[in-house]
Amino acid sequence: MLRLYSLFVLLCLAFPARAVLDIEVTGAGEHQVPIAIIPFDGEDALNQHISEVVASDLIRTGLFKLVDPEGKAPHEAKEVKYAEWAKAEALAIGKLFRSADGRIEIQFRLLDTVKKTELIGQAVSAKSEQGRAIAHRIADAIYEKMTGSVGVFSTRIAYVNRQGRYNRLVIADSDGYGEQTLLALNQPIMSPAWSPDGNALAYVSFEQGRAFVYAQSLLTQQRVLLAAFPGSNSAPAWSPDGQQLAIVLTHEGSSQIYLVRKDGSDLRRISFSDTIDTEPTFSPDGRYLLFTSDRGGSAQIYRMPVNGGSAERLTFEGSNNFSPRFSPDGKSFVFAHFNGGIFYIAVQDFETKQIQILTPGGWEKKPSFAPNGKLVLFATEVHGRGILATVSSDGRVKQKMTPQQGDIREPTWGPFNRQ
Amino acid sequence: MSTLAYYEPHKFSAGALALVVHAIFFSLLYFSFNWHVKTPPAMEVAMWDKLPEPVPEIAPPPPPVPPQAEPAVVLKAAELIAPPKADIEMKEKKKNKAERGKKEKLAAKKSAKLEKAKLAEQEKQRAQAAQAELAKQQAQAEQQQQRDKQRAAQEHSARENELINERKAKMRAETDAATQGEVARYKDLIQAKIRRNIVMPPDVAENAEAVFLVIVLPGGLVMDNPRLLKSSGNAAYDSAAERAIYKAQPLPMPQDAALARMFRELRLSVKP
Amino acid sequence: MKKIAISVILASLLSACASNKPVEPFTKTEPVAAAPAAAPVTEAPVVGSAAAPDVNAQALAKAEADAAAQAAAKEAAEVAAKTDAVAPIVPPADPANALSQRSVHFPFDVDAIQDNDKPTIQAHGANLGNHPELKMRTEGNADERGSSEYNLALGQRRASNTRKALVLSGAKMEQIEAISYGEERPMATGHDETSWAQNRRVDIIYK
Repeated sequence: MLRLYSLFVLLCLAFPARAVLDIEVTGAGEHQVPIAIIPFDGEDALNQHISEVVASDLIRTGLFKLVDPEGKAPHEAKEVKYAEWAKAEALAIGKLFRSADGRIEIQFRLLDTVKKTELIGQAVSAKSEQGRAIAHRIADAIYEKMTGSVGVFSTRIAYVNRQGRYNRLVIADSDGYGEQTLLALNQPIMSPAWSPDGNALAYVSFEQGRAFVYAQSLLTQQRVLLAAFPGSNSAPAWSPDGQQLAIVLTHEGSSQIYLVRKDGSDLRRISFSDTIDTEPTFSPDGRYLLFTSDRGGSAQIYRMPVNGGSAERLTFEGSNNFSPRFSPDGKSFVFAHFNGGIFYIAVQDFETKQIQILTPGGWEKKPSFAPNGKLVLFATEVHGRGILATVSSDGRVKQKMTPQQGDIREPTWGPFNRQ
Repeated sequence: MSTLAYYEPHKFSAGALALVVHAIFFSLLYFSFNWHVKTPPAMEVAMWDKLPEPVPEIAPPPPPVPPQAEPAVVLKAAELIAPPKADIEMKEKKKNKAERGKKEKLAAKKSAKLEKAKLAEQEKQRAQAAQAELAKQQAQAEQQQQRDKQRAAQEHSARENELINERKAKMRAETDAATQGEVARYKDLIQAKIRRNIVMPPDVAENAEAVFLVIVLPGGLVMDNPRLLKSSGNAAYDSAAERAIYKAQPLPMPQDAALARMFRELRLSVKP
Repeated sequence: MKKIAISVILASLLSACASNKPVEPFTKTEPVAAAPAAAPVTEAPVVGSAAAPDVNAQALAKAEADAAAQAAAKEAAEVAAKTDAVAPIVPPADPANALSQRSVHFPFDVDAIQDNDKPTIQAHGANLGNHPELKMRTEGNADERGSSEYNLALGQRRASNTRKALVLSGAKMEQIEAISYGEERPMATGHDETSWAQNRRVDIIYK
C-alpha cells in the first residue's frame, strides 16, 4: 500500500508531463543537391541555351546533381505538380521573350519541391548577345539560395597561354568562355594581377628584352609602364584600395619589395634583406603583406606590415613554400607547397596555423582564391600540357579546364563584377 | 507557434485531469475491485525467457479491449506498453463507459510516461525477449480480465492488493525497460531516415547544430512546418535539415498507439 | 642577305688583317632557346672560313662601321636589341678556349658561382677588362622547381653574381647588364634532372 501511495504521490508531483522526445541526427546522406533544370520556354527558338549554361555552371561546382525531367516541361509555377518531382529538391523553370528592339527578357523561378514553395522569382532583361551573362547570373542566384554562399559564375579569370615562344595574356569568364587577348608577344609574359575593381590588369612583359611591369586598363586598353629599372621588375600586386601596387625590383641588389602609386610615382622600398623577397600580396584590410623569401635559407612565406617592419615567418613544413594569396575573409592563405619534389596547393589558417593540403600533387602552382573564398584556381599539368584547375576550399571538389591549344600558365581569379 | 498553442491549454487541463484521475484511481484501488486479483497470477508466471515473434494468444481479446486491439495484432509495441499501463488502462476501459476514455488516456499516458521517465534512468535496453513475454502476459491478463470481471467485483482483500501492487511495481520496472528498447529502436529509425535525406551544404562548421520541434500526426506525417528552435548559424544548413525532415515523411512510427503517443512531439537536433 | 655580305667582307678582312690577339666571336643575337651554348648556329659560308681562327674583334667592328653595309650595321644593332634576332656570326668552336664557354651552371636553388666555372669567368672578365668598349649581358635562368617569380629572382641573383665575378676578374660594372628569364625560356622542358641541370645557368651574351 505504501508503495502504491508513494508511486501515486510521485505521479501527482510530476505533472504536467512535457512529452517531447529528443532525437539527435548526425551526418548527412548526400553532398549534392538534386536539382531539375527545365529548358526555358523559347530558348531553342531564340538560340539562347540559357538553361544549359546554368546547368553546367551548377554541375561544375560539384554541389549539385542534375535530375532528369523525364519529359516533363513546366514553364510556369502553376504548371508544376510537386508530387512528380520527388527525386529533386529544387526545380528551375523559365521563359524567354524577345522584345521588339531585339533584347531578350527571361523570367525564371526556382521552386523548392520539398517544401513546395517558390524560392526565387525574377525577370531579367538584356541584349540578346548577353545570353551567357544572364545564365551566369541565374546560376549565381540559384547557387546562393541553395548553398548560402555568393556565386562566382559572373566573375572572370586571367592567365597566360603559351605556344612555343608565343605568349598571350588572356582574360576569360570563369568557365573559360569568352576569351579576350590583351597582349600577344614572342617573349614571356608573367604574373597578371587584377585591380580590385576589375578594370585594370597589371603584368610583367619581356617585350623590351627583360622583365618590365605594366598596368593596362581594360576599359581603354591604355598602358602605363610602372617599372623599368635595371635588372628585373616583376610581381605586381594591387592594394585593396586600388591606389598603389607592391612590386619587386632588383636594381638595388637582390629582389626586394617596393610600393609604388598606380601612376608609377612615389616609389618606396619596404623590404630590406640581402636575400630574395618576392611575390608580395596585400591582406584584404590592406594592413599586411604576405611574401615569399629565402632569408631563412629556403623559400618560405612571411608576413609583414605594409609600411615595412619586421617579418614573421608563417610556413615551416615541406621543403619550400611559394606564391601566397590571402583568402577574401583574411583568415587564411593559399600557397604552393613543395615537398618531396612535388607541388601541392595548400591552405593555412592564420589563427590555428594548421595547413590543409587540397590537391593530390603534381606541377600545381600559382593558386588564387575566387572572390567568395570557396574555390581556388591554380595551374597544373596533365599529360604534359599546362591546364587550369580549380579545387573547392575544403578540397572535396576538383575540376579541370584544358585549353584547345597551347599551355596555360599564371592564372589569377578576378574580383566580383560591380555592374 | 502552433505547437505552443498545442501545449499551453493542455498543460493545465492535463494536470487537472491527471489529478482527478489519480484521485479516482486511488479511491478505486482502495475500495478495490477484485479483477486486479486475477492478473497477478498471470503476471507472475515467468514467461519472459524468450521472445516469440508472433503472439497468437493476443488475437482473441480484441473486442472488449478496443484501445489495445490493433497493437495486439502487431505484437511488440503493444506488448511493451500494455503491462505498465495495464492497471491504468483497465481502469480506463471502465471509464470509457462513462465516456471519459480520451481524457484519461491522456492522463494515463502522462503518468505512464512519468513513471517511465523516472524508472528508465536505471534501465538498459531490453531485447525482444521482454517484449514477447509482455505480449504473452498482456494476452493472458486480458483474457483473465474478461472472465473474472464478475468475480473481481465481489472479492477483495488487502493482502491481495498488496500482492497486486508488488507485482505491478515489478512488472512496471521490467516493462519500462522493454519499452525503452522499443523507443530507442524507433528513435534510431527516425534518425536514420532523416539523416539519409540530408544534402550537406559546403563549409558547415563541425560544431553546427540546428534544433527543430516537430509535431507528428498519426501515421508519421509532420504537422505544419518543422519549427526551428535553434539555428545552426548557417542558413543553408538549417534549410537542408528542414528539407530532410520533410522528405523523411512519413516518419517511422511505432504501431502501438500508446507508444506512438510518445513520438507525437519530437525535438530533433541535427548536426553535421 | 646583308649578313652574308658582311660575313664575306669580314672573311676577306680576316685574311688581310690577321693578328695574334685573343679572339672573341661577334655574336649579334641571343641564342634561340634550343641552341646549345657551346656551338651556336652558324651559316654555311661563314663556317668555311674557320681556317683562320684568329679574328680581330676590333677589326671586325671597324669593318662593320666602314663597310658599305652601314645600314646593315644599324639593322644589326636594332636586331641585337630585340629578342627575335638573327643567328650569330660563328665563333671558333674551340673547347680549349675558355672564351668559347658562354654559360655557367648552378646546383639547385644555388646562385653562387661554382668552382669549375671559374676559368670561364676569369677568361671573360679578362677579355672585358682588355676591351673596355665591349659590352655584354648576363642572362640568368632557373629550373622549374619554384614559382615563376621566385625563379625570376633566382635567375637574377645568378646573373648578378656572374657579373660580380666578372668584375672581380677585370671587367667594369658598366660593361655588363644582368637580367633574368627565370623559368620562362627553358632550354630543356623535361621534368627530370637532365633538363633541369641545363636550365640552371647564366648565359654570357656579348652585345
